[in-house]
Amino acid sequence: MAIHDWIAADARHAVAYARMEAAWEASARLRADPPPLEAKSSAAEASARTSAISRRQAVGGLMAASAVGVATAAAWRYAGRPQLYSTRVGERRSVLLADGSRVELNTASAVEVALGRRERRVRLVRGEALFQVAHDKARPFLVDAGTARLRAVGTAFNVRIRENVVELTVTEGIVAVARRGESLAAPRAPHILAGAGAVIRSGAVAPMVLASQELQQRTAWRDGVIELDGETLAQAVDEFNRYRAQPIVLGDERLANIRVGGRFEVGEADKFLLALGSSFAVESIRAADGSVMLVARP
Amino acid sequence: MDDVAARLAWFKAVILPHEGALKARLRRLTPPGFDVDNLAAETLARAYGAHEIERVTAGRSYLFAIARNLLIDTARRDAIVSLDFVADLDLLRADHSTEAAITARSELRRLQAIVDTLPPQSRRVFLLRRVQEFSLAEIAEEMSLSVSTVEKHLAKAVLLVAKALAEHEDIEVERSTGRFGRQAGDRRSGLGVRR
Repeated sequence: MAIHDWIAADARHAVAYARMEAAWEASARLRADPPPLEAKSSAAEASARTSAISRRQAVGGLMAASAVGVATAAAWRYAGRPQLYSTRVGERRSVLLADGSRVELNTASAVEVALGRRERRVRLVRGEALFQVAHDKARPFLVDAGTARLRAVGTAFNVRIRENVVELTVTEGIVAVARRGESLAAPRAPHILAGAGAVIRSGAVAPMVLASQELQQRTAWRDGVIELDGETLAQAVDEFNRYRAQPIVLGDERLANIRVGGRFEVGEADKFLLALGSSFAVESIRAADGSVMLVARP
Repeated sequence: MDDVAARLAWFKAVILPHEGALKARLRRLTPPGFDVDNLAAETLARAYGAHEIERVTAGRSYLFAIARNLLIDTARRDAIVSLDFVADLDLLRADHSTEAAITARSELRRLQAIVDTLPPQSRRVFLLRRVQEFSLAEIAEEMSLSVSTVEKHLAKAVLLVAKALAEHEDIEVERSTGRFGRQAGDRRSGLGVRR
C-alpha cells in the first residue's frame, strides 16, 4: 500500500505518522470527560491560553509548515485506518459510513470498518450487524465475521456471530461466501440470494431458503423486537439475555424444551416472564443481582 | 507491511511517550539557539530504526543514549572542547528517573487543555468524531460541510494535538532535572569555545 511505502521510505515519515496515530489513540480518553463542542471564549480565558500556546505554536508552526507535517496529515487521512463502532449490552446503533453504506449494530456488537480506495473492508468483531451497502462496483464491500468471509455489491444483509456458526441472512441483492481454502472470487463460491440465508463455519457453507416469516424474525431486532415462533425456552432465554446485563437462567433443565411463541420488545423480558408464568407451570425467581432463575412450578 | 505495523506499535508504546522528556532535557543541556527540535527529530528517527525492537523496552534510557551519542558527534565535528559539556552529557546516559508513568487522569487533563487550543471548526469536528463517535459523513451532514473538508479539519486537529503532546514534559522529569538547570549558565559559556 502506498502509505506503507511512504512510511518505509524515511524514518522521519514514520515518526510523524506514529505521532498522529498516538494522538488519535490517546484522544479516546476524552470520552471519560468530554469538553464542550464550542470553546469557551471569554477574553480572560483567551489571554490565559495565549501564553500557554505561544511556545507550542512557535515550535508547532514550524513543524506544521514542514513538508513532512503536511504529508503526514495527508497520509494519515488516506491510511484507511479501521474505525471501530460498538454497542453496549441492550444498545442499538445505526452508523452511516463515509461511502454512504449503513451499518446497524445490535446489542453488545462491534464492527471495524476500513474504507480503502480499492475495497471496503468490514470486520464484525462480535455480535450482530445489518449492512446496507452503497453500490460501488470499483470497491467491493468485504465482510469478515468469525471464520466467514463475505462479499457484497449493493445489497442488504444481516450477519450474526453465534456460538458455533456465523449466520447470514440476505434481504436484498446477492452475497458471495468464500468456501474453505478458496477466495471470494472463485467461480464456485456460493452466492446467497435475497430471501435466503446460510450458516457458515470454517469455510463450510450451508445455504438455506428462508420463509418470509423467518426472514422477518431474523431482522426484527432492528425494530427492537424479539419474535418467537416455536423456539425452545432455552433459545428464547438466550435471545433475551443478549440484551440483559444480568441473565435469565434455567434452573431446571426439563424446562429447556418448552416451545414458546410471541412478539416482545427486547427490553421487556418481564412481560415475557409474565406470559410464561401464565401459560406454563414455570416460576421466575428474582435474585439479588438482578438475574432471574426459572424453575418448574410444583 | 506487518513489520511496519509492529514497529509503529512499538514506537508509539515505548519511545514516543518520552519525546517530551527528551526535549526538556536537551533544552537544559544545550546552549540557547541550539536546534533542539532538530536533534530530537534525528534521535527519534534513529530510535525508530532500532535493530531489535523486542529488546528495547526502556524507551527513555534508549532515547537518551541515542541523543547523547548524537551530541558527542556534534561536539566532535564542531570541535567543541568544553569538558563541562561532555560531563553534562553523562546526565543523558545515567537516567535513573522512573520510566514515565503518566496517569490516565493527567493525560485526560492535558488532552482537554490541548483541545481548548484548537481552532473552532477543527475542534468541533475532532470532538464529534472522537468523543461522540460520529462518522465523517454524519459530521459533514451536521456541519453542512463536504466530507473532504471534514477530513481536512480532522487531520489538522490530529496534527495539532500530536504536536502539542510532543511538547509535553511530564512533571517528574522537571523535578528530577531541576538542579541541572541551575548550571546552565556555566555550561553555555563553555560550549562556545572552539579550537
